[in-house]
Amino acid sequence: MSALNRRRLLKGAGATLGALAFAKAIEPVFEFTSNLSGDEFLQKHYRELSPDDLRTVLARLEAETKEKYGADVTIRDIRPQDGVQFGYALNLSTCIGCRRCAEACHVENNHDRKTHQSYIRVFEMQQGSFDMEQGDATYDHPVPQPGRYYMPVQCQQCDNPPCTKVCPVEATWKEKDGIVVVDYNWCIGCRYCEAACPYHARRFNWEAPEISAEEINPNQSYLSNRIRPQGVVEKCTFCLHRTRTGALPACLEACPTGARVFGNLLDPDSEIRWVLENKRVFVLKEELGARPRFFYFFDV
Amino acid sequence: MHALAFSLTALALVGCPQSEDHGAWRAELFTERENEPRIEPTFDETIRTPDRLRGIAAPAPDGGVVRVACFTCHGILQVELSTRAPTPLQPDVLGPHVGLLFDHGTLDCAHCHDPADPSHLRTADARSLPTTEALELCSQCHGLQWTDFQHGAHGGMRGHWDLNAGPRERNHCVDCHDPHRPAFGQYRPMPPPRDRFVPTPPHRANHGADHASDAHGEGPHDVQGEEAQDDEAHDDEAQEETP
Repeated sequence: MSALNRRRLLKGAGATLGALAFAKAIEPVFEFTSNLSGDEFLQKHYRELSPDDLRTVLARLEAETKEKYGADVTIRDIRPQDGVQFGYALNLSTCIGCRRCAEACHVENNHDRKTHQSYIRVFEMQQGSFDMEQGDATYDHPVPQPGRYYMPVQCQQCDNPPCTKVCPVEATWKEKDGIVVVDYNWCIGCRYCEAACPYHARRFNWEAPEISAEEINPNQSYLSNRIRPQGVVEKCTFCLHRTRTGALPACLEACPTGARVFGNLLDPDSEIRWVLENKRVFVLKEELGARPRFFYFFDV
Repeated sequence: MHALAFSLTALALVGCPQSEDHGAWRAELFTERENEPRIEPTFDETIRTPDRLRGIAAPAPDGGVVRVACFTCHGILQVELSTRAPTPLQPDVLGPHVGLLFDHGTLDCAHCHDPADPSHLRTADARSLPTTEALELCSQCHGLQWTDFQHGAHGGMRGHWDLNAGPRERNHCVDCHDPHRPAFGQYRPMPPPRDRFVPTPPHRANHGADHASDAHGEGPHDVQGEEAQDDEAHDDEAQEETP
């Protein structure tokens, strides 16, 4: 009789522990779904949304921004222009490493204020070396330092992008004007793309971005600078909410030395075409075959 | 050209059937837009005229700074510019020019300033130029920079890459380079990102909005030459004074 009781007791204790462990293990799922509206859960992929669906989604996102951040924003869906292929070039001879581009990106793209995030990472490099492993992205002393040069790196908008190929859910793709975008509402946060990018250009939102209402840039678009949810990957979009309407990207406008050149690769009169035809441009990590659209050059 | 593009496309199709349309835009580069008529852009590209070109920032009686046109003093005072050799400091220069740092190659004043008319500049071929047209003067020597500038590859700009969508404003040489000391100095950079792996330095812990509002300002803060550039450093606060 006593043996039977002991067995029962052990069984009961085991079952209770197991159930508790299971409940604890699946707890995040319930936390996650409690933050997720039914509409958001049922939303289709960006490219499958009908114009009516899209209007509903944009209105919902605007309302959510108002609710969570207290800011009135306009989220638009801006499509690529015909006959436009974006390209970017950066003059390493004139870049002084002041990080104004990174700061402008931080502000323009509604980045998390706490981590001071930006899509641009400026490396302080040893002159005569191209070893980015030795580059320092967190320097904090007057620039430029003698014997150093400065190399801002952001998304290279590759024509053969390794990041889009590894996405298991097709949440990231290359648009027809050359910009690689992410559907933040379709991304599952697996971070494969972050690992696949040879330029370390993608960022993961470990937490929901912290940003006060008055600092939010209200000019937003679905595929670029709207405030990203927690747990998704984000990246530079060449400020498509600006550039697809003909404006210059925020990082270029902020550059005090004019090291940055942006334009339409299909326009033979554009500044970017002049640079590509008259400067000795190169791309980073060319041997990887990603075919970047972001070109670097030195003046000499 | 079309035949070339066609054969290239054919080659791409035969050679690498899996490559889809990657790089297809490159073939378009030389076919699509080449024969289109050039349309005059709807909007203009303008070049800024910095205040610095319209006179000198001088101390005002009330302790402030006032912008004084060159003619205000030089209408009466005759100066012999060509006799002055360049030195880093010119204690013999009177009035608002005291403390002017001069470090521009082996030039002296008369290389750029018109000795006959101190409110004008003088080109190498002895033409007199208003100071507001300094761009032409600078470009005589700095041809490479001028070429780059003309093609949008030197100097900051704001506005639109597409001049059919909106205007564009370009910086003038003098916006960034002090003509008397044109080399770029050292600047304090914007704060770095705070990765999870990089500890936050204590003095930066409270950073945030102060820098955010500053991002589209005039330019980086010069940490070396703030006192040295005293006659030019107050350009923003200076008021215009007509002679």
